[in-house]
Formats: sequence, C-alpha cells, structure tokens
Amino acid sequence: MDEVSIELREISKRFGQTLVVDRLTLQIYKGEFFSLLGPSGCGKTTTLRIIAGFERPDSGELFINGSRATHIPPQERDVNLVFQSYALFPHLTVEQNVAFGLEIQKLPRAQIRERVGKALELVRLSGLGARFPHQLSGGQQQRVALARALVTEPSVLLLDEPLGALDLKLRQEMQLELKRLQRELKITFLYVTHDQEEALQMSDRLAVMHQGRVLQVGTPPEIYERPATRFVADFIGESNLLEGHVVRTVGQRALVQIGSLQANVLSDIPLQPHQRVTLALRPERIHLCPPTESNGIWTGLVEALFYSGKETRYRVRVSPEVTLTVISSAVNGISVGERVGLTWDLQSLRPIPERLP
Amino acid sequence: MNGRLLWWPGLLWLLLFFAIPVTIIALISLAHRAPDGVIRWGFTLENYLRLVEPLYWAGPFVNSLLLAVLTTGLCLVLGYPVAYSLARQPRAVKNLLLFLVILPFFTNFLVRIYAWFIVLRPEGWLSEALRALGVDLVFLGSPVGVLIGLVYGYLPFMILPLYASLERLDFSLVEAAHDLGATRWQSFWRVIFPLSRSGVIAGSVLVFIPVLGEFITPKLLGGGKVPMFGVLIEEKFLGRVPDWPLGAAMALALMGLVSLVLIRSFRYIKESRWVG
Repeated sequence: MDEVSIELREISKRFGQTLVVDRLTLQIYKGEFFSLLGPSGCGKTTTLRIIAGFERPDSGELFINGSRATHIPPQERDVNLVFQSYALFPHLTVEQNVAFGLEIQKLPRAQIRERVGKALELVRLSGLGARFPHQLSGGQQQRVALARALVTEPSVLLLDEPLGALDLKLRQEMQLELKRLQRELKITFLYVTHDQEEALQMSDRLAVMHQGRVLQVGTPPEIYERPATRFVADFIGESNLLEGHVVRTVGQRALVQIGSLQANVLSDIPLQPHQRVTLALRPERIHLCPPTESNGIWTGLVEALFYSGKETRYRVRVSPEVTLTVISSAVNGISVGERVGLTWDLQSLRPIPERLP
Repeated sequence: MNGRLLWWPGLLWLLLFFAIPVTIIALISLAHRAPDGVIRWGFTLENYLRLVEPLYWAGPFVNSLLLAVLTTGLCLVLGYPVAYSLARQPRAVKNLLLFLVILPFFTNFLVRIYAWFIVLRPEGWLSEALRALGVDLVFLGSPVGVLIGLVYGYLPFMILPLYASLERLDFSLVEAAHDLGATRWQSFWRVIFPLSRSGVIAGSVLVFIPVLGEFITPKLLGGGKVPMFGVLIEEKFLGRVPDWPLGAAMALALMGLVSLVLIRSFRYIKESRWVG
C-alpha cells in the first residue's frame, strides 16, 4: 500500500476569476479505493479532469506512477475515466464501445474479441454485446462504461460521480459491484462523489474537499470520528457544534466551559487554558436517560421530536443558549416537554483544531 | 382539435409550388415544338426520345456532374472545420458567427456572382497578384473560375447542416475517445465524423443537387465556355433557338435523377437517427 499511484503537488487551477483548485496536494496509493468527497463546486471534478488530462493546471505538478504527467496529453496517460454521463459512443454497439481502446492499440482481432468478452463478463453484460447504448437501461450503460474503461487495464480508474444518475436501489447494487471489481482487479480507484455515505462505505481512504482545498485526508472512521474542521464535522454526517473555552487542562483531559455548562474533553490536540475551542458531538453518540440518574452528564428539555421509523430525532435544550440534536434508534416513549438526561462516551466529544474553515 | 388540420398548410404549399409547376413542365415536355420555337399542345414522347438518341447533352451533363461532385467535396472540406469551430464557441460568439455565415444571403445571388466576376477577371486584383507571383491562371471562362463561384455560393448550405449536427455532439464523447488512447485524428474519424453523418449527408445533398442544375454561375463566370446541363436547359427556354418541350423533358429527366439521389440519401439519414 505504500507505492504511490497518483501524486498531486500544489496543484492550482483557475477558471476566469474563480480559483477552483487551490494548492492541492494529495497522494493516492496503488490499489486503494480513494474518494474525493465534497459539495458541488468544491473542485473535485476539476481535480479528476486534471488527473485525466482534460484540464491543464495553472501551477503545480502531477505524477502518475512516479513519473511527471503534468503536460502529458490524455491519450498517453495510463488512467481511464468513467464519465458521469457515461459518454458511450451512440453509433457503436456495446462490443464496439468496449473494443474501442483496444482497437486504438491495434491489437490482433482475436485478442480484442477475447478481452472484450472477458470485460463484458466481468461487468455481467455477456449477451448484450450486439446492442446499442440507447437500447440499454441506465445501470447497464453504467456497466458498459466501466467495461470500456477497464478493458485496456489502466493502472488507475477515475470515476466521476458514476452512480449519480441511478436510482437508490440500483446505486446500492452498483456500489457493491464497484467494490467487487476493485478487489478483483486490484487497481487504484479514484472516486469522485458528493454523497458522503457512499464515500464512507466504499473508500479505503478519502479526502474531503471544500472551495478547492483538501480539508482532511483519512480512512472513513478517522474522518467520521475525528473531523479536522468544522466543515468536515458538519458535512460528513451531522454534528452538534459547541463553542466554548478551556477552563483547565490535566494531561490530555480538559474541562471546557460552554455557556453555563461544563464538559470534560479528551483531546489529542494540545489545549491551553482560556483558549477558545469548538467541540463536535455526533447526535447518534448521545444517549438519553432519565434525568434523575446520577450518570447523566447534562439534563435538558425535549423541545421537538421527529419519528422516522428506524430512528427518532430529538431537539433537546440543555441551556438557554445550547440545543443538541440527538438521534436514537431505541423506542423509549419520551415525549415533547419531558426532561431527559444526556450521556456520551468521553471520546465522542471532540475538539476541532481551528486552522481551516 | 383535429390533427389533420395541420396537414393543410404543407399540402397547400406542395400543391402550389411543387405539384402544379411540375405538372405544367410535364405537360410541356409532352407537347410539340412549333416552328417558331414555342409550343403546340399535344401528347408525344418525341422529346424524351430525342434525349435518348443524340448524346449532345452528355458533355454538359458530365461537366455538371463533375462540378457538382467537386463543389460538394470542396464545400465539405472547407465547411467542416468552420462548422466544427463554430459549434465549439461560447453561445454569444456562436450566434454572431452564425449570423456572419448567413449574411451573404442578404445580397442577391446574381450580384454576388457578378462581384466574383470582377475579382476573377484577367485585370482583377487576384489575377494580378498571382501574375506577380509568376502564376498565370485564367479564371473566367474556365472550369476553375466556375468552381470557385460554385463553392463560394453553396458553402453556407454545407456549413449550416454540419453546424446543426456538430452542435448537438456531446463533447465528452471526444474526451472519452482521447481518454481511451485515441489521437486527434483517430477520434475525428472514429467518433466526430460518424456522429455528424446526418449533417454531412444533408449538407452534401443541399450542395450537390442545386449545383447539378446551376446555370447562373457557369453563364457568368464560365462565359459560355463551360457548358453545364443547367445552362443547356436554360438555353432551351430563353436562348436564341428556343425549344420548350425538349427543355422541359431535360428538366424532368434531371429531376428524376436527383430524386433517386435524394431517396438514397434519406435512407442513410434515417439509419443514423440515433444521433439525435
């Protein structure tokens, strides 16, 4: 996992006045499933297009498999892109679409036929080779696009929101399918998505992007459990963000004052007394208990609740200035206007290093 | 509302501007030629038989065919890059450039060809400039001059349908081709050109067919030294020795041939429906 497949060094790209990619530095390892996650307009697709070779960065360097690729045209790069729109050639059959890259390489006809057959088998489309793209469903077109990009055995497969156009059920099915393909082929997948759940489920590692910059790189648990910025904490899942200041520290522990409330925090970043700090607390990591119980950390008043079957969301006012969102899957008969106690594991309340937005 | 009501404007148009004129021509082609050159109504096939027998029209017809093929080919080669770059411009620029392509139509065709007459004549600036470079080319009265006029006159008819089909082309397909290793040349021949086929065919038809019947350009720029089929027909009606029935028969024969070309072309366009 140490060999670097794609490396971006200080890549910047401007469209007119807008800085779309801002000094982006990133390393993607061989054979990993890496996602670029961010809201639309964060620069993730532009980054992908820079790697594919369709956009020239204004500054910075790009390396593919260790060699400088910044100015190499797309047709000479050992990466293939699966387009968001699939970009299947409408005048060619499924087989001809998949064979395209191999024909460009001028391989012998028999070998092309064999590899196309294998690729179609891999994406489970055998038997549909003679059809035209418009005769296929969205999911099938998606598979053709995958087969076409995989058949030339690139060292990196770039995927630009490939499941965006599919409905939920099909999307979940294709997520599994993509993971299976990536495991079987052991090639690097660079996946661009705005769907945080998708990114968390599928990736070995991911980068969260915002306004052209990478805010955090890490494994899904690292990103989810230890968000590095307010934006990450809020964009990935949901977070209660609490503003406060440090009262005192003892080793890694700190006591933080949030308005009229106090809370203990276990911190892996150095904190100083009187320092302002933002704390993130996941709604589903908060447990509700009877307010009389002595192990309740805070108590509060249930102001609203939203029942959605598999879970219930509560809005709990814990002080005049602070309300917390709590998500619980337990059926506990709590109703609006009731007083409740709130508890959480010490490590669920995380201070956010305030360097980036 | 009854959907058939919408047929009427089209049917009326066809009747007024196609069916009735063609019927008149057909009737003339079946009439006799009076000694004074005009027509005596009747029913005879002699005009068509005259078409089959003496092959005096064969030379001009071959000229027309060759010039039509050359004009179509040159318009395609010259018009394709123009249409492609037009289609790739931002919308505002696109509309302006498109307007410039159509602009010549605001001037009478005859006037524009006459303008070429001035440019191409031996003492015109083009000939002088070429002579200064040591090239002595006679344009007027030669097929080259006629060809220049024809390409000029019909280029927009090639550019517009090409533009229409290239404008619809999803450019990510070209990127996909590059991504899969295709060079510019390969992606052009394997993706762009096949996907613009309907435009190529429509443009070629729009150039080829009218050029086949052209008579103004060869008359003005050919000076009677480049006989074309259209000129021959025109002379049968307006020339010094008129022969309307023969002219009508020639016109209908040409129309029959053109229809065959059209039917074949439309079959190709129909086959490439998936493009839209």
